[in-house]
Amino acid sequence: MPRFLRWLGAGLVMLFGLGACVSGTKILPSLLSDGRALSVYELQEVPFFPQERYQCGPASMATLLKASGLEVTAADLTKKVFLPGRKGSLQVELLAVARRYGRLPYVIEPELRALVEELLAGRPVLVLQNLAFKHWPVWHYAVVIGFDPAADVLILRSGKEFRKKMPTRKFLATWKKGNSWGLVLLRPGELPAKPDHDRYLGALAQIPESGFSGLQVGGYQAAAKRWPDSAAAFLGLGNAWFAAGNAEKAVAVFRQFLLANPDQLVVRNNLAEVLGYTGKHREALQEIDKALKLAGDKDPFYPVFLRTREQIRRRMNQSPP
Amino acid sequence: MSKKFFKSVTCLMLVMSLASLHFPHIVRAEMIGVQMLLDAQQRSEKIDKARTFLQREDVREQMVLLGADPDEAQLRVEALSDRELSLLAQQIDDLPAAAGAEALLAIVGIVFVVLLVLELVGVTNVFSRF
Repeated sequence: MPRFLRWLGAGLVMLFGLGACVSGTKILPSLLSDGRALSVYELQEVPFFPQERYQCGPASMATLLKASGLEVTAADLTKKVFLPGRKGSLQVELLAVARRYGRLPYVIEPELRALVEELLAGRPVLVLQNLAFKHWPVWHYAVVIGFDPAADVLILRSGKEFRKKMPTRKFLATWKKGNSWGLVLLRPGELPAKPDHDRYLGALAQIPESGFSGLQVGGYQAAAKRWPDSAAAFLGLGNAWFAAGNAEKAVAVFRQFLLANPDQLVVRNNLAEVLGYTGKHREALQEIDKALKLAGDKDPFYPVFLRTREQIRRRMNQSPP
Repeated sequence: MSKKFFKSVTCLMLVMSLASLHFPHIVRAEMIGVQMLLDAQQRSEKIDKARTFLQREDVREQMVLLGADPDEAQLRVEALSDRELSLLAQQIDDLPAAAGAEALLAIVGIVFVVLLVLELVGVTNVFSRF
């Protein structure tokens, strides 16, 4: 008898626990509690491409690109991101195709708060969801376009549904099983809602070296303006100008940064390299010698500086005096 | 044996000639990239340019094997960063390839088939009750 009571007690506790889970505090209102309106927020003008068989990747990506002002169809995207042999689309290929359309793919911080911030900045967010189990996943891409805090639901363009409402708690369960992966597209030079230096520079650094210089120049210009002390931002901007064939602009950018930050030897190395490339051997040599003098031989870039110097000397000897 | 040897020598020569095609570019550029700078700050693994070059070709071939259009596959790999490329080179068959809710139907289908088999074999008695 006491044993039976103990089991009954445990059962009741579990039942109440479960009840507490289901009827727990609303998630969205607590995120938006900092004085923002609690009414329905929805990016209604975001287009919709109903998904064909296995085509949630192309459909979701077409949605994002068109919302970003580009004329695309889901069929265009199928050719560019779908892998028939995998019956799906890979995340990195979604990033790659955004670059081909002149947009910077930016993977947001893996937090619902970051997702909401991007929506409030007017950008739909492409999300990866796992609709089944951790060890037996069913992967799905959808686009979050808004939310209703009072009902605590998110609004998505998903599959064949134009306006799917999903309870926030349920959405989070599927989103977290995909590592809370969310993607927005930024126009060249546009910053995310809450700019984070490492995340933004990281996104820019993933742009391949050749073929995307417009996207690079715009992005690094925005970064250099937002973080005027960032060596990475100015290094990237100079490199981007150089890749675009404009060595003069590259030199100007590197010089401008070194004026305030003479100890950024990596930037000085690239200045020397560009100067040498454009035939200004004497200046190039001056700059790289300055870098070598300031760098200890423990500096991870010391061997690179030595190679740069060697390269300048070689060019000097090749060109007529 | 000699055929195999010949094959591997040819392959090696091809790889070397491909690599040397690319080398002038590698030697010329002592420009330090943003990723290199960030890597040095974070002490993460470094990207080997010559390896990346071979990986790009490797990933393109895998994409074509997986049914991508050959011309399009070239453009697809050119839009990938070195890091993304090495990720694909290692895990193109394992990374999540999101397909959508249709795949969920497959799971439901499998569960149904299992139930049906159990029923027919006589282990369960779910359907005949009604």
